[in-house]
Amino acid sequence: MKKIYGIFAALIVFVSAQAQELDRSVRPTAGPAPEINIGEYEIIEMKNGLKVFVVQNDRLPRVTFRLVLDRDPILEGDKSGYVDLAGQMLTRGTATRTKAQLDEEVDFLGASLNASSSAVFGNCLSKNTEDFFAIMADVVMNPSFLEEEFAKVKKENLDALEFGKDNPDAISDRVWNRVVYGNQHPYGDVERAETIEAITLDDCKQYYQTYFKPNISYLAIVGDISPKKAKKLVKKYLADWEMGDVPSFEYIAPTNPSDFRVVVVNQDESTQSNVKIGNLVDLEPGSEDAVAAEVMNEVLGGGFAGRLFKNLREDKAYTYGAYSALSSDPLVGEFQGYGKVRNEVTDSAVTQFLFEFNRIREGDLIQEDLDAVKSYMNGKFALRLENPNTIASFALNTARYDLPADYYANYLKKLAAVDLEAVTRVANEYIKPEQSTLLIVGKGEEIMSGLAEFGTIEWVDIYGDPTTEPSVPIPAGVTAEVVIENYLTAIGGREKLAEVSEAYIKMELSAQGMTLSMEQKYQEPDRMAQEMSMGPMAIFSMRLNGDEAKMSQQGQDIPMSEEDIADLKMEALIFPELHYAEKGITTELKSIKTIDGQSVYEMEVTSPNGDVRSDYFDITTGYKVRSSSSQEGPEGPIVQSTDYANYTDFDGVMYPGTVYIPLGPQKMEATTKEVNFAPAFTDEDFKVN
Amino acid sequence: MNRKLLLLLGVLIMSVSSYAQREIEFTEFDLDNGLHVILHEDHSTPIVAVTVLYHVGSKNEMPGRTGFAHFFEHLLFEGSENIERGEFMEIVTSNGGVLNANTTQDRTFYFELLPSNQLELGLWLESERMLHAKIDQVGLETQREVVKEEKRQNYDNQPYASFRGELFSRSFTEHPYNWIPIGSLEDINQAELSEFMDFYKTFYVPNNATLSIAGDFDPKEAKALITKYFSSIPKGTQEIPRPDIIEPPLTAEIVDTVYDNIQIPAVFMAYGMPGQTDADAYAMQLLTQVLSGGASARLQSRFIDQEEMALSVASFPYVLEDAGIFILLGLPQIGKSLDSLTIGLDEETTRIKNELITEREYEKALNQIESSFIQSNGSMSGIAESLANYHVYFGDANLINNEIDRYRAVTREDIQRVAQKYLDLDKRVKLIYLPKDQAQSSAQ
Repeated sequence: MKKIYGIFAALIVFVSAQAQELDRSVRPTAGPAPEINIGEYEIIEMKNGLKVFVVQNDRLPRVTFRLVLDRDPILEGDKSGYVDLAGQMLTRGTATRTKAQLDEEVDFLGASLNASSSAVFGNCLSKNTEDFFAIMADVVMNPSFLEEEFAKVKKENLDALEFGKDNPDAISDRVWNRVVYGNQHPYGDVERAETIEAITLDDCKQYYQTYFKPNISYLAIVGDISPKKAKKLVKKYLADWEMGDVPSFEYIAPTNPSDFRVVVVNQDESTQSNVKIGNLVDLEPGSEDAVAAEVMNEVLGGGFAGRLFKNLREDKAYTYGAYSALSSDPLVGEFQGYGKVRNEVTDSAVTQFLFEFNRIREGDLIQEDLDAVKSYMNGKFALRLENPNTIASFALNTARYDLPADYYANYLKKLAAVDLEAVTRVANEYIKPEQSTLLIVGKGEEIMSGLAEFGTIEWVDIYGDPTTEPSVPIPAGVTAEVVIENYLTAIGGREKLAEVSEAYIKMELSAQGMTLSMEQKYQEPDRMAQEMSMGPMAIFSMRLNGDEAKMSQQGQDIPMSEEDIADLKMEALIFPELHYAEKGITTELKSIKTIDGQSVYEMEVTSPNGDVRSDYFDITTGYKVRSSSSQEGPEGPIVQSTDYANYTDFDGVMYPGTVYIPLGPQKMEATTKEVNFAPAFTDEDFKVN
Repeated sequence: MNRKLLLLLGVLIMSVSSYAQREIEFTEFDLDNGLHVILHEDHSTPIVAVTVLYHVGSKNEMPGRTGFAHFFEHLLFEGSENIERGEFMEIVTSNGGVLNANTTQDRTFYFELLPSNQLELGLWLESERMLHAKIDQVGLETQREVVKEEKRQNYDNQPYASFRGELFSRSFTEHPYNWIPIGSLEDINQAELSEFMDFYKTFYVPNNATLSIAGDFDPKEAKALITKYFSSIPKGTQEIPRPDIIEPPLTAEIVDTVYDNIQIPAVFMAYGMPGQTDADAYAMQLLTQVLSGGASARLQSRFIDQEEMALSVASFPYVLEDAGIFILLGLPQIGKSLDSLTIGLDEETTRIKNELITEREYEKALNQIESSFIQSNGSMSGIAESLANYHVYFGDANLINNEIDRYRAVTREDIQRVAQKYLDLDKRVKLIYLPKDQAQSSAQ
């Protein structure tokens, strides 16, 4: 009986275990959503115009202080950095405390105190609140601006600049600002050694005296402190801070480029490309579109759930992370996609960024995904409220940007109201792929050919100033002779070309609706004729016959000197590369460059008369693709380039089917119509007079 | 009694009680399968942090497979029997949460921070991860590249960032602290799927994990849910291997040069020291404060302010479970000598060995420690993580409330003693960082 009971009991346990077995494929559903309460804050306005926000929260026995100046941005130009330096001077001593004393007092409290050009901030344990605030107020009101400390600050900033020289993130941020905002807008100011050297102590003092005024300042006090106590403190320590008129500034807003811009900073040591791609936007804080724009950005590149992350990381594994940011700003905001990708996928990554930009503009978002993102943002908003400083920043933004008092209280309602149509609309409004700037900090030689498809690369240095394309080292064993031999082989082979001694070439070019025809005749070693005509009318003609030559333009003879004739003789060659040695022409291989996305050898070719030109040979095909020479122009040397393309088989020889001829800054396209290596010339063809 | 006195008394009582109520309360229990659970209830914000700490890190890796534990952390976002590839992150975010993970030499830590009505979801996700994570070849190859990009971004492409790896590889020749969690690109390329599954079966078991939850929830309900999702996860059957290697102390100074993509040279020095639970580790932490805790500390005030030699100086104990290193570093100002700065740093090291620190310095250091100790409990995720760390490494989660006492127990004499014991100038690693272009010129 006992045994049966035992079996019975075991059965019950078994059955109930079965009944309770968890179906793990069923995802738990959420309980009722918790109510989200934005914490309260109190506003105190002092007689000197200082506005104080107090957020009381005693979860931790600490207090955080943040004083912020609300002033217009300042264009610093050739003294870029002076505003920062002025801010740094604040914690370098006061009228009654040396820097060493100040540091020691703050450290002794276990507190922290920092200052920047438009803020002074710090925190302490609440038991030290008054001791700490007394120091902070001293820093705000009585900085000493000693020459000795200024010299140190200046040196530190110069060193810091040097320290950050190789940091790809620092370079990228700085160059982005310069390139996108330009040098006439405060957001485009760039610090460099010269601008820091130019700053004087007076500049900093002047800044402090002009801008550190209570009537443009907000002080946020957050933590274990009552509004009453906070008010008492501020009254005691900041009541004597005097008001003053503060100047305001207006700037012409920078605009987006009319065409897609490709800007590259070469860093030879880079193992990754730091990519930024985006455009400026007109989006003010709290504006009608602000919340929808936030949602759109979240969908695109807000985090782990963003499309950029999923595409570039989780699908393609190009990067550790790819994101986008859309910032609102009273002057000018910006949209930006960014990430760091390995060198070899740089161009593919750019393609994917643009793909995602366009996809969201086309309106392919579905309701389910929109709901997911809104739910994420709803959650994030609640998570941020854990930190009482969030409430202070709400208060600060509300005041600074003149937002409705219930802006943040209504935020979640506004979020809920964002629909698919709004997301597509703001995507089109604020993402401008065709007027974007692409900035890459990376290893030029490895990435430049891939980037060419996006446009002509503007090479800039680490401060955003134009520089030359980086040269790529030439592989060992490759000499000018090797490159020439490859070229000759590519177009038909030395043997075959050497057999050619006569040539007739006819080309056609169209310009401004007119068709020009151009004929060239060669009879080696010293006969040549060129004629350009429009219909029956001769525009230009040139003949060389042994030691005689004649040139005329629209019927007018152009006088020629002995040297001119000698120069012409040098050109009376069908394939000049076959004759360099006998003509005394020297060559030197200079570097590897990129033309239209293709790597080319750059070769310097020097004639006996001292004329120098550069010829470029495609590394892959061996063809000559460009010939450039530089001429003195009114504003320095101008490089004139003739480009050769579409190599076509004419009579067993590969000859350019298209030639681009420079005409001032433009190029004319000439098409090869006929090439004949057995033209049966007569003496008449080269007759001079 | 006069009114003023009464008021004063009231203030006194209030300040005492306000300290008392800041104690972090928590409950702990073990499931039958060995999973340790810690719960901290706090209703001030409607959020909950769900965290799982696995007691496995890069020190559990084999040579030739460095970076394995961290790589595996990436793979554990790939999904499970009930979560498709790519869904894990989406489930969290679309329910209003954030998530992440990190790996150290000693442990791997996963967390979700969720709206408080999503506690159950967080528990389900973490139990799926623990019970039957699923990884396929596509996910493996994708994350392999992602991890390599992480290394390039955070180490290879960052000036000076190699110093940790360079110091550890020379400070530890026997112990697996020889390498750092990111590992090497070569090893990351080698790791295979089958090896990961072995690793999972060995280390990702409830008896090697701590589930720590903090935030807005009812502990009774939480306990029922934890039982629901975690109790059926089988206990690990294998013994969990842990290195028992004791690193022999250095017998001489190791000096090396590293050529990096930098403009300003630097010196990095490392001295061997005990692991984090050792009483001496607390003394070393206080010693650090005296040397470089703030602008008024010895190194900053001498080398940056007074002598204007250094752009930056710092010291910090890098303390791990089995052992640690004490790091001292300096970057000279442009035009100043790295050698003089190095000599100066040695002078300060010798000074703290030879002279007792002042009372004022001692008090300042304690104040700073107390302040950061209090500030570290500012968020639910921070509290959940601290509780788990204290439990795993110290076997005492309540250190979240009273670890400060261990610092207070350190005397000035202790600080001098540990300085003498560990900071031996003749037994350390010294790395000189020089700009790459100097490597070429010195080779010529």
